[in-house]
Amino acid sequence: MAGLHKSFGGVRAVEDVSFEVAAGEMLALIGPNGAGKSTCFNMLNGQIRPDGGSIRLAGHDITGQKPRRVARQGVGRTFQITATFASMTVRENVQVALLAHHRRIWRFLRPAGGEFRAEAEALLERLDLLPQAERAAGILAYGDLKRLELAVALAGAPRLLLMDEPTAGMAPAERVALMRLARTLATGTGLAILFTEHDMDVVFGSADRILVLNRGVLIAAGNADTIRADPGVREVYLGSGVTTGGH
Amino acid sequence: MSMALPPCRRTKRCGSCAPPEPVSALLVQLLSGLSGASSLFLVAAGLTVIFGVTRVVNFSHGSLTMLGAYLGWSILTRLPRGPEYFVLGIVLTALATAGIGALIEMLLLRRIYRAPELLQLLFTFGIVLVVQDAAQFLWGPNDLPLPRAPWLRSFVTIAGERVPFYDLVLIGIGPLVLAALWLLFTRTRWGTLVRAATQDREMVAALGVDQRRLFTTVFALGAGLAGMGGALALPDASANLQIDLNIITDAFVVVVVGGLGSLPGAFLASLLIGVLQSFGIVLFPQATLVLVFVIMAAVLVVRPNGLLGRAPAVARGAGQGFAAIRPAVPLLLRLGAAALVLAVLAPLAVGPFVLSVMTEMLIAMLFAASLHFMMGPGGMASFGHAAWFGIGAYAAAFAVKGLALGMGAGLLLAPLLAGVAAALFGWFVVRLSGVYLAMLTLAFAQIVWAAMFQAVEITGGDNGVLGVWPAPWAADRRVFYWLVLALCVGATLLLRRVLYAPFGYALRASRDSELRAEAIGLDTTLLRLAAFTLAGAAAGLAGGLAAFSKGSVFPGFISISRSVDGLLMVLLGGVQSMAGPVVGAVAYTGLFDLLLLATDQWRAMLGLAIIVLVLVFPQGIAGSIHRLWLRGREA
Repeated sequence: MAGLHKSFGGVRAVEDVSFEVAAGEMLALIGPNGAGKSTCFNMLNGQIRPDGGSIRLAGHDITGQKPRRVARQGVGRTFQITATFASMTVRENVQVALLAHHRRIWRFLRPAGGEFRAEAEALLERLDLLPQAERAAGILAYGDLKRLELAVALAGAPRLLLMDEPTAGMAPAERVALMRLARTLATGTGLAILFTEHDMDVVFGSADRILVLNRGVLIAAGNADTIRADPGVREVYLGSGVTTGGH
Repeated sequence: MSMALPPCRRTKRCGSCAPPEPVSALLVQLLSGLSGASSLFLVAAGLTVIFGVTRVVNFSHGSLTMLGAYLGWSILTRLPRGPEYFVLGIVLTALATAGIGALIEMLLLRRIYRAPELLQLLFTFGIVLVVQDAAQFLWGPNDLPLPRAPWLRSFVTIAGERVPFYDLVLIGIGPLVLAALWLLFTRTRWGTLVRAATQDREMVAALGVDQRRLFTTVFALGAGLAGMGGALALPDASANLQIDLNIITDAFVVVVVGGLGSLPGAFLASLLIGVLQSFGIVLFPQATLVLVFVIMAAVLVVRPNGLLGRAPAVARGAGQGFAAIRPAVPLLLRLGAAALVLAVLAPLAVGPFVLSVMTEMLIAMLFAASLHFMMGPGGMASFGHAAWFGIGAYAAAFAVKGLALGMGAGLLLAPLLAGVAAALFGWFVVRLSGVYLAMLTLAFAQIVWAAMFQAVEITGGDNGVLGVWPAPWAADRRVFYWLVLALCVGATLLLRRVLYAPFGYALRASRDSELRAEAIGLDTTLLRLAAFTLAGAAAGLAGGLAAFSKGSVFPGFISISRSVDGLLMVLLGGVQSMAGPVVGAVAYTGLFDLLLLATDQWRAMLGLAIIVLVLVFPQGIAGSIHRLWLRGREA
């Protein structure tokens, strides 16, 4: 994405932000509350329209396209507040995502229970959710729900995965396992991952590169060491009273 | 089983006036429209204020207007005829309806603020039914015109035209009330609290404001406005039993066009609708209501939240837990199969009366199943599902009587036309959610009703279309029953199958989380539109069968009460499973026929039954039983 702008009323949420994510790369987007992280995410998957700038996915311009079109071109995402299909079982959640990905939605008579069943279960297996396959998504524990959402996003076989605070509300061991899985996906399938996170251990422990956003402006970019040493970043974080989690 | 409310006609005196000269005729028409807008604005303002604070769409608001008209009649006919006494009478009426409103709020509504909004709507419809019978009991079935005092009959000459003085009075009252309300809401502490509560109810409660008193006073204010609107319309019309449903439809349209919760929006919209109706009566006497719909549609296309409305704060389905829809357990399947066998064999054993009740039950079953399809998996609670039923019925009748085709063609045309109409209308509706959707579907059904009522040349108006009989091969009651059985059971099973097909999965996904559904590439709008169309077509088939079953079609096929019948059936049976609407339809049809046999006051009885059911089971019957069952399992 290049030169991205977004204002809400008179407030500039994101100003001239440009960056790239490469295939197989894990890129973290961090910054204090209100820095514009979620706004960036929402522009990337088409939730909101940028006022200026452009977004390109593998050379294709996808600026201002609707979320479902962006999704069909291979951008999956999870939300800060998890969004899953509460009345459907865990397996059905993934099945419907697979059906959508394979454009098999407009079938009215064929029972859907058996469609992409094996694929769905394989995906659930990977995310440790298979034992819960027949439970309704609405009654899952929060950490399980987060992983289900990730499974649903992965069912679309994305080229770019956007994860908005993927480990929030998880136990430390779960966090490590989830980020390890993300790493496997990135190196194994060439999936590009962009994520935001408040837990700095997770950020510094798993990201290849880190972008720091403050008040809508990109103030630093680089690997973990560069970011730790950056005086601007220190000022933003220490100045705003947020500690960098033991670093 | 249609509750066929008595036919009603909008009473506007301008339609029969001798046509004066063109330009000044426009002026007179304009002024008449503006005057009609005032009383409409008062009613809509009350509705929108009540909704803003309590989040209850108050169906019984029309009943309060009707009570205002009747009370106003009783008070004004007892007072001397001078203008000062007229003002006194109007004020007394407003106070009286405000008091009634406060009572309704404290005794009834207060108990259901936490219930799902659909049940709240149904609850207030129960009040409508009770008030209807009560008004008929107290004031009799005849229209009560107000004897007009000399000053009410006087004219003012403007640009050489005689304009009724009272029209000018009404035109002045609208802006005056708007200004008064504006002052009330911006300049008083109470008004500030009301505005705050409209923005964020929880926050106001957290600040320690006495919510109960706030809600009661707001409801009283809204009720007073409604009563005043009803009484002010008296000199131009009369107190009659049709006011409630007529005015609530208009008020819904005004509120939707103006923007939910916006007073200036309601004012603008009532001017627009009032003037439009006034001109429509002269220009297109046969299509006034269709015109209203066209304007409403045009406004909503450009501004989906109404002229001055803002996007609703709560998204579709948010904060509501939906139970998972599961295939029936084996026991239920076996019971269903047994019931089907019995239903197939029944004609060999039962008499014609029971057979006709069973035919009715089957048609009701398909109607309820089609509504359930939309409401449950589709997440779109329609309050005007009778529209598709009626269009199907009229399509079947038109095929037979108008085009001289056979029953087969009629039964083909019924779902087809209903489906096409549902697709056209659905295009506007599926973008909306919750109460907006309920109001708009209700308004649309009323408009279809009025169109059928007004298009006398084609539909026979109130006389209906007679002689819509089945083809000779199905003329035998038993053969016709088997035909109905095959089509209704077949169509219901088909809907069930669609629910478990990929389309059904995607539809439920769109309902559960629109955000997530779009993020995996689902076109939620199109999915909902398809569901809406499918449900409309299925209801149309039910309507077509009903036409041949009764041998005739009347506007009552599209009445609000038929839409509510459907809702009751679905809610009675439960939204959670496909068996729900089937059981609900059979139980409801049986109960209703019993009620009709047993009493004249069936409206009040039904209304009371609804009120009690919602009070006892605020989460719906099926939901409550489900909860009990869960509790029992855990214990």
